[in-house]
Amino acid sequence: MNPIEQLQAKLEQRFPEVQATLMAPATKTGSWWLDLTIEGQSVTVEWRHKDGFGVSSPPFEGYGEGPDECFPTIDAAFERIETILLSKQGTKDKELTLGEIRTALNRSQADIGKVLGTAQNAVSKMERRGDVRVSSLASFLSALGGRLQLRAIFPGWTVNIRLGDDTPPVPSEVQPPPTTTSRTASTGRTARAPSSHSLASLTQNRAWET
Amino acid sequence: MGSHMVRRQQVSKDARFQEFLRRLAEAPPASSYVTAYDLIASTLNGVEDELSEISYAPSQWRTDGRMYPPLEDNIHRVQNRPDVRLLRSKGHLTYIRENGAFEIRIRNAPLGIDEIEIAKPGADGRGVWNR
Repeated sequence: MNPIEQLQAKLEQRFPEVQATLMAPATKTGSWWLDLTIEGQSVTVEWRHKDGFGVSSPPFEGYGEGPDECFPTIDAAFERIETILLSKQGTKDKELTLGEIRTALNRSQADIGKVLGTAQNAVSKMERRGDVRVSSLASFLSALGGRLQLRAIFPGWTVNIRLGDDTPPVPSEVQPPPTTTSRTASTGRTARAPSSHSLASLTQNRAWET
Repeated sequence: MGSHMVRRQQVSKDARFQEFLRRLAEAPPASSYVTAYDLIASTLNGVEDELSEISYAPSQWRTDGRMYPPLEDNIHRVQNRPDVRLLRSKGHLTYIRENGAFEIRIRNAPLGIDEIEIAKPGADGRGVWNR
């Protein structure tokens, strides 16, 4: 039995009522697909020899896109699928902490620190922080191979947010030079002159919260 | 102006997918499995290059949010139809026949029905399932 056949057997043992369909590839290197359904709740699992398990649940809005979540081991995939089937919540309903995202992608804090040019304990601090700078978050996700997307959700309307061009390219801990800043007397807030840096450029710098 | 200053309007994945289907429908029919696959792949890559803000990076396909054509090694056999090949992705089933006809269906496991998104005949006028 290969790993996805083992996963199927484990899930059928845990959920005897599950409807499971396994689709084998025509080639050795292709993907295996396992479709699972219980009482209207469905989960799709993709497995490839080198990539581990990809877990997704409907609705699927695109074509040929990657799985919603990836897991390197049978146990990790089983645990997640079990939660989805029991809770009746899809993969898209899940919120993960930064540490959980990193772990799901099988990366260590040291790995991320190396990419970002910072210490492992700074990565650890950021993962535990409740209030994170947008630029730091973007850098963290970029180091994992992803990207940050900001979305505003209103009743009946969801829209992606694009930040303006005047986002400062420096962390708050570093005071900008006087020629580009002024401190307002009434609020004490720092006002910065527009800069040519975009959020994309911010993800390239090594500004980091410690 | 640096490249980081170039702004493109963000287009949702669903809108990009609908544009992909629209372009496929308007394209001339394919005459073989290979030309049909190439039509699907080049159309999708063209839409994503133009409308997504995500660079083409096949090695990142699992996590980058871009839509990619099904991998050519991700072929599945179709029972009793050796002339039809199935390419699977997480939400879609793409059937391509040797005559260039193809069908893209959305996987709808809970209902047990796969809904057809597009069915395009081959250059000979026959669909995927017409004998």
